Amino acid sequence: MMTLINGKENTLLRFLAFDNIAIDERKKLVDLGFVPGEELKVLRGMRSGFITVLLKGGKIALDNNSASKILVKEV
Amino acid sequence: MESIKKVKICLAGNPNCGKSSLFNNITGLRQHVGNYPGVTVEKKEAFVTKNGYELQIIDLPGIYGLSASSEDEIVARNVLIEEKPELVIDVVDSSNLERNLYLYAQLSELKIPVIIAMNMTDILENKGQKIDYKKLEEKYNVVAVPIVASKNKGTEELLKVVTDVLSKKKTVKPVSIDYGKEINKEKDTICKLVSEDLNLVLKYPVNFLAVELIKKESYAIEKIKRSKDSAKIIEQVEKSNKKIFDLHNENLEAVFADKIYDWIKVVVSDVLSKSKEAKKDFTEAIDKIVLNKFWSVPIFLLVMYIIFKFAFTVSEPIVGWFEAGIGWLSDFATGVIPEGIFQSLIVDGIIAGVGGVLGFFPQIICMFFAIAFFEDTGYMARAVFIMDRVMRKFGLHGKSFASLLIATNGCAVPAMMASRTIDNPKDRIITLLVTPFMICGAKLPIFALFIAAFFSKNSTQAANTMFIFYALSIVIALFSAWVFKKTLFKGEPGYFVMELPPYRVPTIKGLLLKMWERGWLYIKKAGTIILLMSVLIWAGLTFPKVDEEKLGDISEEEVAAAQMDQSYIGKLGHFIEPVIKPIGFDGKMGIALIAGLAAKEVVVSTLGTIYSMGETDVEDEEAVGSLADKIASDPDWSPLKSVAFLMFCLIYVPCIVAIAVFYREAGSRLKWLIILFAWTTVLGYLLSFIVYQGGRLLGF
Repeated sequence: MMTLINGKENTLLRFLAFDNIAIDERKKLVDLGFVPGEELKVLRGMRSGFITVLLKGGKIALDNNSASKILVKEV
Repeated sequence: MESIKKVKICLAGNPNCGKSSLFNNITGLRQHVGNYPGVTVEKKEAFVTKNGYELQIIDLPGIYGLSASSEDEIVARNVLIEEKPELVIDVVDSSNLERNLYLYAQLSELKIPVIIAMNMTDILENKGQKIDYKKLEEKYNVVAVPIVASKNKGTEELLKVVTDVLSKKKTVKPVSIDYGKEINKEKDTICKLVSEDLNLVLKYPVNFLAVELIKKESYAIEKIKRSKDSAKIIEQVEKSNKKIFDLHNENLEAVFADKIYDWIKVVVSDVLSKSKEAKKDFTEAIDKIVLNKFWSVPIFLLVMYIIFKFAFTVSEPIVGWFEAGIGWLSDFATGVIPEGIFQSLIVDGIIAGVGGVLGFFPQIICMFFAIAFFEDTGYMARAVFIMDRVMRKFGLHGKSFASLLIATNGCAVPAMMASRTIDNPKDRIITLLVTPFMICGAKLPIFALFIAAFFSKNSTQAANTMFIFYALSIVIALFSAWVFKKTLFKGEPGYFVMELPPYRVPTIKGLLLKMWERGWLYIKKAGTIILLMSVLIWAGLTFPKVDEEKLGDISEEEVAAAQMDQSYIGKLGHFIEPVIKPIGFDGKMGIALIAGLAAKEVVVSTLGTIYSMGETDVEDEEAVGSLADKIASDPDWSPLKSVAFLMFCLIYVPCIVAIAVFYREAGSRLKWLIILFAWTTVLGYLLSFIVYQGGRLLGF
């Protein structure tokens, strides 16, 4: 298990849970498709300054603050 | 004769799904932009008559789901739940069906007929996919009409289905999401309890309310609190919430979302099929370059430079035509109106004042066009994220930059309103405090005027100078944010998450419409507040009249100078001169700055009136034509003074409308208003002082 912040480019990850997240932020991420078990692909890693993932057909960009609260594991 | 039935229709959809394009296609230029009652979130609506119905179309803010957190999302949800539209058109990006159907599933639980406008079907086709609409409707009760909003395709067909549903020729059956046996049982129990209160049944969709209650959404709990059975319902909500949480060991938003996505997966896998080989998608390829760690910021700066270069180069000949037109109008009015006070009012007051501002209209609309181009391609959404990295170093995040961008793209007022999307209150106040530093459409004529007067050997030099001032405005905003963050608002900035839209080729119609929408506001302002201020400034310069007989035998120019000197505004100018002298300004510059508090364009219109009224102590009478020429020939001005003046204009107190919006957006707290006044005045004065006195020491 790791946080999304450590996700490497072009790896396939499975979303597990949120860690220490505010309710509003959690709701927004859930609306965007962050539901447990969902697979996501890292398109661009944190070295670009923010992380971009492919989730449910859409490209989601997250800052490191949010990415650090998303627990994932490699598929 | 059959009477026309009035119906309310809401346009809902995810951000960047093409909702506004569809709204424009349906309503054309008949739209009205206002605010939702009680809040400053923009409300766009229009009335359209179609097949015997007067459709009131409301364009809601973009939302991903109904669990709203920011102000604009809350507004969208409240309109849908409380204003009870007769029908909802859910605009769906067909090329991203899975995510977009999430909102649809939630909307359909509101028990309002929902029709999907299946947008971007051209992109779907390029991806080599197609949707079986018949199966979608017959098997899943989802009524969808394919459209391509950017090309205005399918709008008529969509409106036909809308009126068919309204006239009951076609029915939209509700979609029923299966949340599983346990959740359904708990939901039914709560539904039963809620249904016992007729007030709740009449006001809210019971099924939806029950789901929101189980999730313990605070706004749903609030609604229940007003019920006579609130204690009973809340007790059951607690029980149900605990039961479902224990069963899934998961936050309940995720549990419900998971069930909705399960339904979506089934639907999408059944109705979406591959029809042919996909064409190459360039989005990722472009992103590899524009979002590159090293290239992203230089590319962003290049894009901004292209915008200014475009605005100044394309508008250059048109500005000349405008100036010639205003000059002709002035000569014409002088010719037909008998000499006297009325002629002075029309020529020196109105034409010189309003004309001075309208002369820059071509530059402004060219810039709006260029910005709209990059917005519609999908680049600006990325720019916000690119700048997030920079903004964080100063204690802000990308959403703040979105506000700054909106200010640059038109006006600080909508930019301040846009800050409502920022969840963290501290970040919001900082954003509100720094937004006025941006060069908005109203400040642009001031910069364009002085660039034309002193720094425009050619359009490239003009664009370069403008670019430097824009960069400077961002630097000042970031510096101020950093100071505020280190002193008043310590702590980490809030989160920033957003969906990046795919790149698209903008349509000329869409760009022109956006350009017109923003440009029209500028014209409207010229015809109202700027006109009024021009008349007031003219009156202040005209009265009290000097007694020419007492002045003796002097030239016309000397009479005009004496008039200026003894007028109300002249006296005010003399009064403030000692304060502004150290930063290089004289009385007339001070008057222009004070008048600019009404609206920043008024700085230009005031100078226009002042120079038209006679105090044109210019060195080369032959060379004088436009206001820029008059200023360039006036020995009271110099390039150094103009830079100090522009520096002050960039920073000093925003216009009265922006101040009012700031006060309201900052929670009507006097403290923030005082800080805004103090910071903008002190910083503006200090930097202008450094520029002017430093420049003099260096021999400029």
